[in-house]
Amino acid sequence: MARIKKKGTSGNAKNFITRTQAVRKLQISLPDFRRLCIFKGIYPREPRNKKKANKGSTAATTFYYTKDIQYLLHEPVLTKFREHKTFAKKLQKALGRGDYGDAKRLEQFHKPVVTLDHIVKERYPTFTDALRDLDDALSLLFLFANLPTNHNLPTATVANCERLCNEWQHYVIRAKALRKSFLSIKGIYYQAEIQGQDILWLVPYKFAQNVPADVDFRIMHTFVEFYTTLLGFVMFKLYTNEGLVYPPKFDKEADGKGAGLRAFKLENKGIGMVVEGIETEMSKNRKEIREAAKQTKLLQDKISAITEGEDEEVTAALEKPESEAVDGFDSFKPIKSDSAVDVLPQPQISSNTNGDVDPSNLFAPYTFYLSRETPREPLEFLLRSFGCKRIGWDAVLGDGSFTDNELDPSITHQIVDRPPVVGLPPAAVDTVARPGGRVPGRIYIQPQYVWDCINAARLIPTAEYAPGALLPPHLSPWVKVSTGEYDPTAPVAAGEEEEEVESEDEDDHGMTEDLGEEDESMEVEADVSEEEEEESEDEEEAARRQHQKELEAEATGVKLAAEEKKKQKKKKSKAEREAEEQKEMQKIMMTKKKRKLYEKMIYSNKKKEDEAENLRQKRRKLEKSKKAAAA
Amino acid sequence: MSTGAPKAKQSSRKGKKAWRKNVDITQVETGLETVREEIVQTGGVIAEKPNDVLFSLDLGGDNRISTREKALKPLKADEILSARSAIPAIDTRKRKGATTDGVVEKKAKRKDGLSYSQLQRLRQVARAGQGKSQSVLASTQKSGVPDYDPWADDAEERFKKREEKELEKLDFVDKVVKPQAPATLRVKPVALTAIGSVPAVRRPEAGISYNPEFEKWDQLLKEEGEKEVELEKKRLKQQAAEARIQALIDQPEAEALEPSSSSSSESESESDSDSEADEKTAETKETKRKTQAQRNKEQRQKELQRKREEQKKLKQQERELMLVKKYTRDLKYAEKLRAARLAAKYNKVEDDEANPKIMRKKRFGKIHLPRAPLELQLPDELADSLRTLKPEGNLLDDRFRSLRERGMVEARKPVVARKVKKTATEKWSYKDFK
Repeated sequence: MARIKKKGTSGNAKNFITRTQAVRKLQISLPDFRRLCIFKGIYPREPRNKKKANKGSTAATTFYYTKDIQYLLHEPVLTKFREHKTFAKKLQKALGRGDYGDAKRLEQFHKPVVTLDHIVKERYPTFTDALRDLDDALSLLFLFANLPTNHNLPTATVANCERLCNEWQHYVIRAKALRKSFLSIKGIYYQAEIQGQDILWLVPYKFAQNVPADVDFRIMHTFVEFYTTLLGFVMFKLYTNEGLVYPPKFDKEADGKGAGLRAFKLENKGIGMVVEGIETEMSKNRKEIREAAKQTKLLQDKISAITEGEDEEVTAALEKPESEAVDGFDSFKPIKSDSAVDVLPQPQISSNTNGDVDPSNLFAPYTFYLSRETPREPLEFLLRSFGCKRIGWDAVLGDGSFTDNELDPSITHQIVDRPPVVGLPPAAVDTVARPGGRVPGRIYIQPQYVWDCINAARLIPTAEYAPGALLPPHLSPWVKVSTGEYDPTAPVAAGEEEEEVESEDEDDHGMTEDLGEEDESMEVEADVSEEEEEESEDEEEAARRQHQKELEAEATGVKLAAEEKKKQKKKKSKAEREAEEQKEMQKIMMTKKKRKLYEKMIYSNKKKEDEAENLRQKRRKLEKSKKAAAA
Repeated sequence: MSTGAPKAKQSSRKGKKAWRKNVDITQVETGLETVREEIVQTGGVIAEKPNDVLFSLDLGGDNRISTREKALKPLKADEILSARSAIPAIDTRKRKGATTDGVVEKKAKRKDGLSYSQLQRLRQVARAGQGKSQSVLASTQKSGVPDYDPWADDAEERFKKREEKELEKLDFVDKVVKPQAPATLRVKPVALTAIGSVPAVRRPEAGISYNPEFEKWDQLLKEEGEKEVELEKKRLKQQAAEARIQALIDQPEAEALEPSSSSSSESESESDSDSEADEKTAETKETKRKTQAQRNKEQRQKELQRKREEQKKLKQQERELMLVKKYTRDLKYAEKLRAARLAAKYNKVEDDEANPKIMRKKRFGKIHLPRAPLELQLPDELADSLRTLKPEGNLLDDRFRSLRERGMVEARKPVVARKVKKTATEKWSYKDFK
């Protein structure tokens, strides 16, 4: 007979430990235990059999792996917690006695300091592991950088988060790593790709955050503490890989003036030369800079060249957009405007110029100006990440702009987010920049344009984004359109259009109803929401037409073209009929369950297709009407 | 009131009473005191003030008096403390160069060069050890930017203590074996979604765009609306069930009350008759026939019993019906789950369509994770431009929820500091001041 096993020595009983037991074992307070668990990445677990794990009790408790807790016993941070306890006792004693000098000395020299460096290495053995976990860290830090400070949230923490976030943004700009961005009602989503890892993070809108009562702030704070350490190391690694000095120079004065990103100055490693004062970098290529870092021989010449000819560079840069744009776009046409006095060459981008522009340098040739009602931080970040070097904004939005003069002639695009002023005399517009006024020779767009361009990876025609215009919907870049579904971003396929045209021709043969149709399309353009009603109207009309055609055919004795086509189709289907029959047979052979499933599938597919087709039809109609309006 | 001439108190100038220290000056002192009080209260001696300052002719009256609410009576202590002299106090601020001896005094410092604020901070740090304030302990972390790469090959050296390094140099000492991290440390946390995996940041649905595509937004609105309707239905159902149960509870009691009231009167009369009968003989009682009233009573009891049985049966049936419903619900849920799992398996996309927000049914931790807040803009909230957008939801909430969804921290009831009810009382010692 096998030996009788003692109860509670193996299995769930041994593998799991309750929270109270764990706290007792480690001899620390519960808050300290929580902090330690968060730092070390020890999570609550779920035993398969709670009763066995908790000595017969089924009360709701939190369990941990016994081995995890055992491992915690070796943790240096745990020792630090204990040391802090004894230190606090000593300090209390000194203060109670009135030995203030002693207390001061104790605090200065004997206060235990917790470091989380080793934990970072332990939890993320490789750098890729750390990158994978950056989603959470970035989202949390960006959130904390935007929170109001209070007694729970010290100013230093918020400032630290802000610094890290700005450094991160600088890196993303520099590495041209940003891929997608999305304006949601919660906040702004960004996606960057670093070393093959997709990193998605969420940034809140400014001034929209308040602290709800049911959020455990201490837990969040502990996470922030750990993630600051993590992000610090990640930033160090990324900066060094890029050949930059970490930390970048921080200009406190500029930051006080609201310079934001511009309060930081990136430096090349080992040279001490300021590389990226974003304007000075304009004429350079990133590769060139890297070479410069390597070739120390050429260094001296370069430094002198830069320091002497900085002004020249700026002017050169101002001239540059034109020359660069020439390679990028096929046609230049001055904008048709009555009051065009001095005309900057404006690229008229047709929607099919696709592969010409490098997506990472989408906005490189242009100068943007942000009106004061637009959100500066996200726009600056996005434009910079996609190659724009010259961004100006209203002085209200903070320091560090390329220009805060709205009338600057070098501005090519102005981002505006207010309804246009009606009835402003055009003469006044030319001389003074007044709110809502227009400077001729530049393109006015709404902020969404920037996001849509980035997600489409090309420059979209600006006409739809004019101030006051009804904007096209802002689509999520992560929604994948499965085959057969309607894709609002894709252009109407050429074949489809032809087909449409053909059918139109057929319609027109015997008919003289062009006028009516045009009216209809006008209606469609006027109000999209009424489309459904119109659809029913369409059907009625089609029926009416069909009827009339038949009447005509009867009168003339000529068979309708459509009918002929139908016959042809019938002939064709004879060949296909066999296949269909085979399918039928197969269907019969299926089990009931499978057949039902199959039918369901067919039905839902058809429904989807119909829906997509419906949408496509609507779109075609819209586009046709637009063409008609343009002609 | 004395009308005659004041009587001289000091008639004799002889003896101790005439000594200067024994001269009675209380009159003078009280006079001076009243003058001082008058000055403090009104800013001058009342007797010296002109009439128009002291009096005014009130012809209109104050029409606010009738409407004025009865003001809360201030505490005596407050009254005393808030009393202020009409004469401004002498400014005690030291002025530069106001020294008389030509020596500028040094700013007084606390003992041992510790200012008050520093002392406060130290006290807070000392208290933090008792688990009171975490924010201070949090700041014990060494602040500063990292200056090395922990993923570099030589980084291991940095994590070693000095003693360890010295020990390593000695080759006659056995190398210290570092404890290995257990495999359990690498096990992923228990996610609270039905599928069992949650990304740290969910990809947004198309419908929560600030300027959404109509179809996607409409779909989301419908979905959320259906959920709300379902919830409301559930609530109403529960309410109805509760009402029914309450009715069932109440009913038999009410029925039971009726006969009891009648029976009590009967029993009284019976007892009366019994007592009378007892007095006569015991034998007649045994052979006594049942009265009509007794028969009726029995009948009623039987009827009541039958009704009770019936209700019991009904309840049982209802319970069974509920069970059937529950099973069908469970089945539906399981099917949904399977579909979601399949979708997740084949699409391998971490967005919301493939990774729906279906939470698992089994509770993890002490409480269920509360329902996710509604993140959707209603038709009247939709913004027509970025400027007019009103952000929805709270990101702090969102992040905290995400932590719990991923099982990184347990879901538990938020600890709310209990508010101690304050009662205001007045100490009797105020009388000492009056």
